[in-house]
Amino acid sequence: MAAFSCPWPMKNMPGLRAPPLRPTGGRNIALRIASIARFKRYPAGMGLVSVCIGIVLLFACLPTSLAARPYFTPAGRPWSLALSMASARTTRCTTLAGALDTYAKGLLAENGIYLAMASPLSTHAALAEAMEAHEGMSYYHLPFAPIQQFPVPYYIYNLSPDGTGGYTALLVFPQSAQDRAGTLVTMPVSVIREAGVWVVQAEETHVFRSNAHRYGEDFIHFSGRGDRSLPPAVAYTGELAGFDITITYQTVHQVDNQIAKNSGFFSSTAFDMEAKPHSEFIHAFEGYDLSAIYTGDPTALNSLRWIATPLAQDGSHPDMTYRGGNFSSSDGTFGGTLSGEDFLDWDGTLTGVAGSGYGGGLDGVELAHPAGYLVELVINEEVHRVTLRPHMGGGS
Amino acid sequence: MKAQTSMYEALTHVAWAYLLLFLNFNLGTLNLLPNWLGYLLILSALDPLGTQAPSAPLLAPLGKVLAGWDGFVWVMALFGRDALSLYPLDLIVGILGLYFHFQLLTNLAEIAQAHPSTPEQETHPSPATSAANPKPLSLRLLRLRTARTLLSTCTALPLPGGVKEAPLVAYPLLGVSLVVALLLVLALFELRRAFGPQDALS
Repeated sequence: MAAFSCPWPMKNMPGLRAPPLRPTGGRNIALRIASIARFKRYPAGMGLVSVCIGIVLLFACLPTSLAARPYFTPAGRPWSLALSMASARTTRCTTLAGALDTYAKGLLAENGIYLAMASPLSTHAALAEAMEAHEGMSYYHLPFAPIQQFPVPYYIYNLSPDGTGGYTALLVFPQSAQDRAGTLVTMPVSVIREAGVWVVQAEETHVFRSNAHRYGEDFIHFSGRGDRSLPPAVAYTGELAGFDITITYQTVHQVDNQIAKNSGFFSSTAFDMEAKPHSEFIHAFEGYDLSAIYTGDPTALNSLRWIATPLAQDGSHPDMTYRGGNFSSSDGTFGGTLSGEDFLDWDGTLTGVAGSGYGGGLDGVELAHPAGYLVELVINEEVHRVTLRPHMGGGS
Repeated sequence: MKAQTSMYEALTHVAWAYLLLFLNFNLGTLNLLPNWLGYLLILSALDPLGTQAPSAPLLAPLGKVLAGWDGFVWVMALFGRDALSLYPLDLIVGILGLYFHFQLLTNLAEIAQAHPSTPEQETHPSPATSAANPKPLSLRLLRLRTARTLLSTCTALPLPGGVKEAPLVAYPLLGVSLVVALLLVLALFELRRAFGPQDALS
């Protein structure tokens, strides 16, 4: 008992009170001093947990990169504009994926604090002014009311290095309301480093009609696998044996935003609308489409095979092996065959669609577009080859 | 004898409470073995534990806060608000939990040390040297307390999303946590047995 000490009031502890101080109590003085000495800055034996608590609190106080979080109401409105904007300035985006995720969710939820987290400091005054004028909401950046309930309400298309350490990309927001079904709102963005963190600079939005027929009506889900109606990251063009050939290269990146959603005893997955300023990409897709229009006399064609394969910077490429019918390979090679009856109602157009998905986390973020494409056409058993070079590029 | 029986019941509550805290059987995301029930069991045991570890009852206010918080989170999950995060409240509750379990397990180690029926070290130390030569069960409880505290600190650290879920972090942490939880529950049931009816009769 004598060694006991604790941080809580001692009044409930018989035998632990310090002896009272009386004029004649010289012995009590010694006992009282001993009692006081037993109480240290933290209770005896509690050193380890005190250090652990200190570490947790220290991490909670670290700004910018670790534990800082934005402060706003459950409805996404600031508790106080000054406090919430201050939290945005201490909760910056430490990753490229985090900046794009935070910015996109800021747009979707009209959350000015999220937008501030992922925007240059020079824009904060204007953001705060807009929020003040709109009862804490950010002004509408999108031409339509944002939709949040999709499995994936935004995609990152055509993420490409800009050559100066930054990136360009296209934020894509699928729409599904009755009168806007199949509509894609896009926003070209550039992502740059500012004071050690990533910030997003946005441009004007554009509206596209999705190439929905490609994957049926469920175009939103399949927007993660590219969409021909949207601009490519790179296009490769060339001419060969009477064919005008174009291959487009498109990428789609995603951040892991699937969370379990509980409804009483049942659970399902849902999209997490909480910004993830330190996240990495979890999934990416690269799609490559070929379109070749024949400008010659189609009646002269009896058989036709084609194959396209990506070129590395040093000009090397995978084996060009025909596999019959329409085919594609994980190395980026794809091709097709026309023969006999195929030419009866042929409109003179060759098309090929292929792509590769990368899931479970990405080692780095870049899907480097090919330096070129080597295309081979075998027309009436006569072989023709051409190398297509990038014709245009850019994220938008 | 009555005190021993009361202590046996209290230790039974504590052992089952830790089992409830460590085990989560989810239907959807609703935990069928709720943590608040574990804290209520511990709260019911604090006064009897106080007869041998006087500081144990002083954990009651913290225990009520932890039970209330877990009850709140559980009810929110019942109404579909899982993954509830009310930062920095959850951080504060995490810190309270760290202290609560550290002191409670320290108290339980003290009880194991003081009880005559728990096995002695081979050298059978005199009372004067017993503190320097803790009994095996007491020592084991202290070590498990330390391991649990360090693991809980790791999980309570407010790290960016994804860091704690990274396979290189999550799997080792999960594996070690499972082992520590299992050993701790076994140690608590062993302590309970020391105060069991057979011992009370002897």
